[in-house]
Amino acid sequence: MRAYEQDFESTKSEVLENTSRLGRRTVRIAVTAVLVALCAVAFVLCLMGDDIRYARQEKQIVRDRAVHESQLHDYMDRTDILGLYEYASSHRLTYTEAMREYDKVFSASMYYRYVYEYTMELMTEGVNERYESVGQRCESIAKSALSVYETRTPQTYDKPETYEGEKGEYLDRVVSQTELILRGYFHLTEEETTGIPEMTHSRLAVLLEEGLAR
Amino acid sequence: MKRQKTSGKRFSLFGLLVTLLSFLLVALLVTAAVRSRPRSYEYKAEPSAILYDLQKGRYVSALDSVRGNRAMGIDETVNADYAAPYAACDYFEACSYYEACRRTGDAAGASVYEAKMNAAYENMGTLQFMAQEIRDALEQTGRAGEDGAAEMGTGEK
Repeated sequence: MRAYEQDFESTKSEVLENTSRLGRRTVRIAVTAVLVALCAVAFVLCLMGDDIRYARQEKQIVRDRAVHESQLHDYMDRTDILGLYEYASSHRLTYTEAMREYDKVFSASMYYRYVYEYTMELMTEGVNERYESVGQRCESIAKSALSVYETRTPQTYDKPETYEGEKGEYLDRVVSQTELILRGYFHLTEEETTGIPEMTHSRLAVLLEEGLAR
Repeated sequence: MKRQKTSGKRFSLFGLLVTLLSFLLVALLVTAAVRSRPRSYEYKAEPSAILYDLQKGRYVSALDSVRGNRAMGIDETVNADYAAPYAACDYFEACSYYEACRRTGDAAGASVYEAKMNAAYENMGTLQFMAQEIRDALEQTGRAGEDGAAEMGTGEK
């Protein structure tokens, strides 16, 4: 009888131990699986970080849209092209869905900024010959100037709200300011500036370089 | 006794695995949070940096800094030290357009920018001496034809 009891107790404790080991193993596997799954989710979130950021920025711009629009129109009314572009880029308004209708305004302002800054740098500081020649600088100015004209010209895929009304008037003023810089500092004639939209950037670059020597 | 030892070893391996996975999880979550946070443009040029550019004749760079600051709402009212360098940059900008108008014979435009130059000059304070330097820097570009375009490339930034 005692032998049976001992056998029973031994079997019981063995069964209990096995059950407990199985339970512990199950818990360990479950905890590891949950952690691995959470790591996978966090990794996906990391990969989507840029998309989430853009979405949040877009939301913020939509929220502050009235303020941004009023500020942009103030710059447009004053034809403060450099100020407008700086405001747009500082507040990350460029290339956003929320401000899509200002795309042309931003692009024209950006290209004008290149024209202005490249020209003024060339005039007041010259160019560092180690990195760039005067000809190359003129080519950069020519490309940016032509981009101003291209931005002003409506394309078939452009929505009318991007170039009509107040925005259209502003774009015209950006073109006029570009012409003022080219005529004032590169001595282009009125006929030459009128023909710019039909020119290649190489032709315009040559004209600018020749204009410097006039 | 032997079983307990093995179990202890397994537990420590499991513990190590859990610790590593937890660290990885925290690191990934922090990275995700940082990457998805909207970034603001926080560049701010100090008055001394703008002044340094002006003294070195890097007017475009100085103007760029002023534009950036103003776009972020950092203007003369925030810090009075900005007043003179900002005014000097305004003077340069107005003068650059004034020169262009003068050379193209646009008298009306020239007078508008001349008025802006005068207004900026009033606020230049101790930097008023720079007005002449700025005018000289821009006026001499009109003499490029006399000296030859090639000479324009000799400037060092």
